Amino acid sequence: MRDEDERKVLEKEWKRWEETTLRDALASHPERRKEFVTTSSRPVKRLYTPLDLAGKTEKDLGAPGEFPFTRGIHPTMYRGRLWTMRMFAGYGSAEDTNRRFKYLISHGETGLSVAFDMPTLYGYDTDEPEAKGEFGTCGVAVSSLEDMKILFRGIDVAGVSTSMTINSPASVIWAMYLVMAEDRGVAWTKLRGTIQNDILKEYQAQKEWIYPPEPSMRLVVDTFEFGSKQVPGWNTISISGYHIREAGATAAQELAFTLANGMEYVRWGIDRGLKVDDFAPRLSFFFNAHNDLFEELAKYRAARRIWAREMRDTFGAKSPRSWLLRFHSQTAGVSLTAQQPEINIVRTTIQALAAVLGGTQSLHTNAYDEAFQVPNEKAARIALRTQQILAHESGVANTVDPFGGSYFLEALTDELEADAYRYFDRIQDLGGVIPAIRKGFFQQEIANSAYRYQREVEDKERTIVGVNDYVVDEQTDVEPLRVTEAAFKAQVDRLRRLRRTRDAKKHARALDRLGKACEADDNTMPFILEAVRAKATLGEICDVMREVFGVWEEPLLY
Amino acid sequence: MEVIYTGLRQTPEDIVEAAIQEDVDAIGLSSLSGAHMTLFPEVVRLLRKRKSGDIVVVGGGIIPEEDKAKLKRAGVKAVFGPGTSLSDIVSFFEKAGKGA
Amino acid sequence: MREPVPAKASRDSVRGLVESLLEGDKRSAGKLISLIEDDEPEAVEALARIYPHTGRAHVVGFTGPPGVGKSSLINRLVRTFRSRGKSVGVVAVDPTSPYTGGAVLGDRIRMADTGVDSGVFIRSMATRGHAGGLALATFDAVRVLDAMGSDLVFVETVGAGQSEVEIASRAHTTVVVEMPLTGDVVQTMKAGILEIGDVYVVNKVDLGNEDVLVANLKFQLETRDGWTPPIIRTAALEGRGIDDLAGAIDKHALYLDQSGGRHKRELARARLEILENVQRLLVHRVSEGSRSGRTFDKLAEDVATRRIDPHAAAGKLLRSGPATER
Repeated sequence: MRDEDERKVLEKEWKRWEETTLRDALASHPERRKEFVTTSSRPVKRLYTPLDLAGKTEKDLGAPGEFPFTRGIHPTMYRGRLWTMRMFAGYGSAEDTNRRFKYLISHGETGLSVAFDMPTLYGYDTDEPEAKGEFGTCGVAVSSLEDMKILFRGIDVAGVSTSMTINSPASVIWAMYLVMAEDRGVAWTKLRGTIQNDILKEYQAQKEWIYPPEPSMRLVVDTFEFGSKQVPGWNTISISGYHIREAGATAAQELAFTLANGMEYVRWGIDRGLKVDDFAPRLSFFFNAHNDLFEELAKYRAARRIWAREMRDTFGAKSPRSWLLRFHSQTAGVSLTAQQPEINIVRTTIQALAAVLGGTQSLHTNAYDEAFQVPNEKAARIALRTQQILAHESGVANTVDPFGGSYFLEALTDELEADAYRYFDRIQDLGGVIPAIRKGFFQQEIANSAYRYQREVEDKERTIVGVNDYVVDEQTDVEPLRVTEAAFKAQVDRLRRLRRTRDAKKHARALDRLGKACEADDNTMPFILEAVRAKATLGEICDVMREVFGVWEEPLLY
Repeated sequence: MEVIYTGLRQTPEDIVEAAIQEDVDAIGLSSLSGAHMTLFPEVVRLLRKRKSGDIVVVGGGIIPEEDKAKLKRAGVKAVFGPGTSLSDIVSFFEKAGKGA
Repeated sequence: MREPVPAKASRDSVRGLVESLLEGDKRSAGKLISLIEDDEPEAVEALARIYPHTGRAHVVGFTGPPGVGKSSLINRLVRTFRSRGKSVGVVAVDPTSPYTGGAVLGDRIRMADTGVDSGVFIRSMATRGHAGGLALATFDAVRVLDAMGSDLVFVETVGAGQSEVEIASRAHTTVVVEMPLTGDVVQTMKAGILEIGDVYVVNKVDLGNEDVLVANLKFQLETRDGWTPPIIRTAALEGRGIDDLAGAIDKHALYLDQSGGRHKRELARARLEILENVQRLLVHRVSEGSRSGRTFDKLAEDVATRRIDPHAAAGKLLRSGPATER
């Protein structure tokens, strides 16, 4: 009753403001445009007031470190420990990238993140015809255990956490990392890190797939099962909205599709017979940090709230650790401009701020030259420095969830949450995530958003500094990073030598056993490890699987 | 306008063979992986070898300025970099189509 | 840009193109199909030159709802027949957008791994407004591939409209592709689909639930002229059941040869195509011919204002002038 009265008083008061102060102001100073929208074309009101919080209680927010974790997963957040500064790096040969890792560590980076080249991402060896022209251009080539050993030479793998952006061939690359550690005498229980291993978003957005969805999902669940027993400190998946957003999705689509995918992985894990609390704590997330500060903040907060609720109430997870949505974030590559590339540093700063205010566990900041190439050394250093300034100079890490309680932010968080549930319903109506992929649902939704955005930019309804306004006529001055022919040759020589000198019988037997395991229902991980130990290459292992599982062809959109 | 989509990760041989069988006016190549200097000129070379040098080849993607000039010398008719508007691309193809 | 060229293929003479086609030249095949598809004046001559060299290929039509996996199935079949040394042509039809008049043709994606094989030729086609769901030029394109020396020509329909009836009246073997539905749904077959197939495929058996569909088909399919359509279970993506399907197609071809069915089908097709061409010529004559064009306009006016009825107008129009070929 009291709330009702209070509400009436508030409504009256804000009505008065609209009819007096606001009306006068609008009469003399009309607003710049009729409608104001976010980066995702979501309308934004002129003003948010206590009325927008109506019906909300402290319970919906929760205290930091408590259900539903809207304000953060730790009670003290960055006062306890700063986020992990994890710079995505990789180009050329394993030697080149190893040097870059050491450079970044020497400048204060706190976690490693490996970018693989295209052939590796698609499960091809460097010397296969499908790999032509792409060796090391947008990541490092890892075709065999030998490459993996060189990549981490001189780096303490027991002491560093390593994230690897690899999906369809994730279990193979992970096996190479595990065997590399094993050869050095480092116990698997000491290893910490993440494999991206999120195949669903590949079909929806990133398009780096090999096999059809069902066998791919089986491979993912194989890693869940294996990891929960043998490599307990490893995140066996990083459920990624990043690429969905990069393909042109809105913030709401990124949120909804990522969480829908997350729940799909949980369902598959449970169907395998795993206990939800055994593998859920090893599920991690990866979100984009785009330009629109408040919308991004709302996205992270809504994500934590939805995940906690679904894990507890829908999937019956008992352990609070299963309820936590832990996430890595990366600033929006898609927002970087080839025009006036230096101003990308400013964009990246705002985006990184959003991720930090949103409570990220780790962060990659893009370098300003990334509209052209993988970053050169200096650009990568500036990007890292951006995070360090946020951490140590801006003051935003001093308190937990500094914008919590903002009328605007809380309203936006609720809106995004509601949007996500509407998408969950639509996906369910289509029969679930995989049927919706086969029908092209996600792909079409993302394409529509991307097209709308591009039209808005071309029609100048949306200003992009340096692109459709504030344009200068200048030659861009970016120092290109080139992969050398020598690095390519060295890599090919290494591969050929490996194939020549390995125990051919052992190799053939391992691949044969792997093929049989794929045809049967066995967990594939032990067989992949055996193949890696027998010096089978990435391409060879993936070929065995291609033969058994077939390859995926995308549904076409019109 | 009819567009034949051949899918991801096609080799130059695949692309040229498809273009000849489909008797296309133009081929649009996209590469974001830095493989353009290897793959684009190879497509042009194979087309010429197959007496189909009249098919217009254009490219798009992340392509440095200095590479653009080299690609044009190699016979790639246009290179659309970041920031090219959709309407520019459409009108290029309309013009190319009329020339055919 | 490049120097203006008058018509797409006319730098090569039709005669030259047909000669190299007969030697198996793929570029000529591509150009000849374009002439026909674009309805260029040279198309008539091209088809006249090609026709005597056709009739060797076994033409197999594939129909079934969109998304059922026809392209993937064809891809696997092509590989199977190639491994037996047969050359294969494919004409894959996709719909033209009624809004833009353009089309995105994507069947090739699913056939990518056979594209560079010298014994395979794949041509995509858009319906370009042809109501039946098959492009008007589809079967003329089939003839080009036939003359090129293809042992088999596969035609993939869009699986909508009346395409299955059209395909059945022209192909030697018609393959109807269905897939099991999952979930609690009653699966109904499109009307007429049970009468036109020579071979039925239940694809995507990896999804499970196919037994109901197979039993349903088995119950409803009847023997016609001594041929009982077989039902083949496949999983095209994994390549399961493809040999069985290839075997069923071979068997049907043999049946046609031994029963005289092939000649019967050829006769039916010939009748159909003669009538179609009569219709085309007549329509052309009355609607575009310069002399009757005026008559046509005047008659239209008369029908619109109710001075005469459409039936009488048609009779009048046909009597109005000598039938001149274009």
